Amino acid sequence: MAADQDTIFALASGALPSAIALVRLSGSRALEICDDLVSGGPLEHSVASLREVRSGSGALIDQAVVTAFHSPRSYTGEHTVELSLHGGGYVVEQVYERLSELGARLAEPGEFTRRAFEAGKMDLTQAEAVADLIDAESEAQHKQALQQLGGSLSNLYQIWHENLVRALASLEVYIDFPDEGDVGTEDTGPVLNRLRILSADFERSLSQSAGAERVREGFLIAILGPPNAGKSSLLNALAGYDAAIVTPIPGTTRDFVETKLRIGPYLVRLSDTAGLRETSDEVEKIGVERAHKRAEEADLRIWLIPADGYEQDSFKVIQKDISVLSKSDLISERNVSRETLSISSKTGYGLSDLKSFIEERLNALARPGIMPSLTQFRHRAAIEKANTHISDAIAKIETHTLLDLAAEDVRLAARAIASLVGHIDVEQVLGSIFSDFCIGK
Amino acid sequence: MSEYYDVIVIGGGHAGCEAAAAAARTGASVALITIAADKIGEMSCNPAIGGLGKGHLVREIDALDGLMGRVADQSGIQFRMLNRSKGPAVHGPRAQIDRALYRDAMQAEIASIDNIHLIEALVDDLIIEGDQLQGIVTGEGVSVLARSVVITTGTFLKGMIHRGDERIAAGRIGEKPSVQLATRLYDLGLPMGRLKTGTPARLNGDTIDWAALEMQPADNEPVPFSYMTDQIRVPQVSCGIAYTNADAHAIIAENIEASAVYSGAISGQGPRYCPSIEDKVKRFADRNRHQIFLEPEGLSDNTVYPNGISSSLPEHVQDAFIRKIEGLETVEVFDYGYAIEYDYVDPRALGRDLQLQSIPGLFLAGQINGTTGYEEAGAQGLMAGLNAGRYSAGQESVTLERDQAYIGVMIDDLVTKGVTEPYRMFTSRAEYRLSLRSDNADQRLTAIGVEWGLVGEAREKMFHVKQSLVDSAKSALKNRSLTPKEANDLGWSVNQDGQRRSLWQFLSYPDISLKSVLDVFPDLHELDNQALKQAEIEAGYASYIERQASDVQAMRRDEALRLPKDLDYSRIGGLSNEVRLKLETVKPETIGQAGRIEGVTPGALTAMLAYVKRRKKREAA
Repeated sequence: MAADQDTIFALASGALPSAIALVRLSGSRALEICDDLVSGGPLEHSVASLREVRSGSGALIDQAVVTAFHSPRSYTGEHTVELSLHGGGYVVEQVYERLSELGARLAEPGEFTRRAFEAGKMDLTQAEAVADLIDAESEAQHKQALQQLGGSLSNLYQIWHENLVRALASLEVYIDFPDEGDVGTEDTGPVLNRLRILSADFERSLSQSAGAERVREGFLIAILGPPNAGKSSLLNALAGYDAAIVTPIPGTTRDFVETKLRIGPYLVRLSDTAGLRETSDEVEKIGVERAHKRAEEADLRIWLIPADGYEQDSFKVIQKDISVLSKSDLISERNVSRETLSISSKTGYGLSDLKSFIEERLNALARPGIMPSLTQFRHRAAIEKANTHISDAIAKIETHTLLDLAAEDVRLAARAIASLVGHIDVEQVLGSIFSDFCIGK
Repeated sequence: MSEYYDVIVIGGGHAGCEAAAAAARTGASVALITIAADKIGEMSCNPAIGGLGKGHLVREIDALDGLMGRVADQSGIQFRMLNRSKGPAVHGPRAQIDRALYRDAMQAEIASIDNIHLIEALVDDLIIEGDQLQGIVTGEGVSVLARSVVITTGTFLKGMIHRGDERIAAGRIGEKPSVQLATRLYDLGLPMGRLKTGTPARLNGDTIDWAALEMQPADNEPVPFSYMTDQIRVPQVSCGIAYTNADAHAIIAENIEASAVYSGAISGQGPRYCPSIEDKVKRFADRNRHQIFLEPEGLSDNTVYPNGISSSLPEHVQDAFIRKIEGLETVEVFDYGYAIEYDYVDPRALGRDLQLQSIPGLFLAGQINGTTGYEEAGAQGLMAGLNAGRYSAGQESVTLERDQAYIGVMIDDLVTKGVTEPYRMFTSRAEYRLSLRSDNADQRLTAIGVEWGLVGEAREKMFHVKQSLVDSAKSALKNRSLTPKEANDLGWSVNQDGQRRSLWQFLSYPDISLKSVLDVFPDLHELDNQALKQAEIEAGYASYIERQASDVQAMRRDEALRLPKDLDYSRIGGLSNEVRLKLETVKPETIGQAGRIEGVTPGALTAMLAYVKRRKKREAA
């Protein structure tokens, strides 16, 4: 029965034990396997019914709510059955055993989504979005993934792809039909225009993409400052638990400590660093070097200036950084200027202001533009590649050199975009030629 | 007592002639059976050979020592190199042809081949015993026996001409269709379909007001199709260019219901690239004129082919709209245009050697496979004849890959994707267009042809001479180099990066030509001029072709993964029904070919590979 190992199953809900365990089954034999597994006859499409689940020997395993989705109207496009079992480890184990006996096999990670992709139920960007949606830890990540799942990115790529196909068609028509019918004079104006607009689109999208990629991965914020400025205290206060060791001894933090938290809708990777000072301690020296490196990588830096004084000139604050007066509990409010944020990790004073201030800065960095954002490096790389080819093509067409090479450049650009959503077929180009131009003498 | 041959070729058109000649070149004894021997090499439609993609095919046929290029060189009356300004990869050699000269030259070529025996007869039946093909039976009931048969029946299978409400059963105007053979093919259970194509009226050139027309002359220096032709000796003429106009369009629009195409009488799908004038007027209503090329059919023939107004309107409507055209006001029509519908065999039933997968020894070529055009037909004929010859000699089939030839692209497209309209070659179908040029068809294919025993002595010798000239030109250019400073002093702007570059590399710069290189190094003039030009073209594409090398490698890797012929797709898990059906229809020969079938996903390919590997392991154990 080699061909039947194709029907797969897996636990679709969280870790056991739990109130309910959802086991999903998908494949050409999912319905018949389920008929053998549960009582009560054939399963109708999209109807939930209470069934008895029995083992091979006929012993009752559990009572379950069972819902079948007939091919192709299911997530994977194949016959799919969902069993809502009581979430005990033993129950699920028994069901697994019975399903294996009946010829199904445990799914590999991501296999359901892969099948959905292969069945054409979703494209590559949507499949990626499913993974992102499951991993989403913040509102912004969630929103981004939902948008992508809804096809916002693939819609954008489709539009670009179509435009590239049309640009290619208008070059190919001059190449393949030079003296046939009504192609007309070789006016490269329209195709140049189309390519220039595409290139501008690519560039705008790329300039927005760094922010989108950050939303997906989490923003890196570094807390910097002189030793004993209260950096670790601030990290702990914002994280809400003791992630870093805090002592009154300057130089306690020798390496950076990172913790994930949410600020507003964003996932943030907050990093505490070693206090910046000249030191002869070898270990602390390395820590300071790492702190500098961290400061460079960070999307946002919080400079802590302790209210109880520090050595001037030990670092340079740059404009995009946030300067914060720490340990404000040590001084009277009168002495704090209104422009400077002041906080006390000890009393909690100013922390919520700091959070809103950070959120505002992140809003600007995330820059949700008009276009859907390129959330992944893979996308950005493909679009950069496409843009380079388009620029090559534009240069060749402008200088009237070899049209066959310009067409090759546009083809390579279309292929780069196609790698994000699907493939380019010569039939698409020919179809575009014959619908836009009156060919044939 | 029946006659016996190695190969039978049915049909004496462009596919049939190349098939018979190619089979004969492999050493086979060949029977060429045609309804009318005096129509061998007839051009049924427009009197022209070549063009974009098509010109490439002619050069490839020629590089494999086929006939079409040489015959066209003896009969071309207006040679033009299309796309001269657009880069050598898309140069398209094309010529208007004198029909009579072409036919005569082709018939002379066929007559000169000793092991082709000509039989004038209609073929009614195939002799198949078990699954073994034995030969054919003629309309007179005579059987002719052979190990392999090539069918090249063009539009003759159940051909039906439509003009207005007239219906004429015919293969070409005035010629009987082949009905029995079509019935026989249906009985064999072959998947068949119906296609249509059209042809315009034929005009009396003496009644055209040429003075009122724009004229298009031939190139000053006609470039031959064949690598064996040193010079075109046929006198060259001009074509006229006329335009339809609003008055003509009005007549067509008023009578559109009377057109066979629009009355719904035709079920076959026509080609999008060759629409009838009715189609053009209807679909591109915003255009107030369409171009017509008035192409002379011969030096001593006053017939003119008006390319661009194919039509299946009734005769009186054709008369009326044609006479609205400037220059044609008093024209006399010799024959009226028509649409023709004919049967074809779904080419997905073929292997890449053009042999039917279900009937070993039976090969198909030309329009019967859903293609259009003399060049497409000729190229298939050559490959089918070659493989039929090899089959009869007990040799393995041979094929050309997509990165080797347009022939390979075409046959792979046909047998993998099938057709939805008559298939015509375009350069945009070739993903390796930059390497598949018309200038290098001999460099690509002649050595392969020699290996296949397909190339005569004279061509082989000439090829080796040219090859060594090109090699020495290339190595001379590669061996000489300049520093960026030296180049700069010559006025060649390059990066001042200290890197020496060879003359070969400099030639890839768009603003550095062969001429400027020769000006600096006059001693290079000693090298062969043609060879230098060839090297210049290659140098210009070198960087792009290198970039494609990894694509070619990946393709070759997939092509090397062969799938067993008896693969049972229902036993492979993970294939959707739709994909399985497609695979069963095409029966791909390699994983690469399977991947080019629409809808076959990488996942499906992986499942197939895994299954085949498991099966091999089981068989080995």
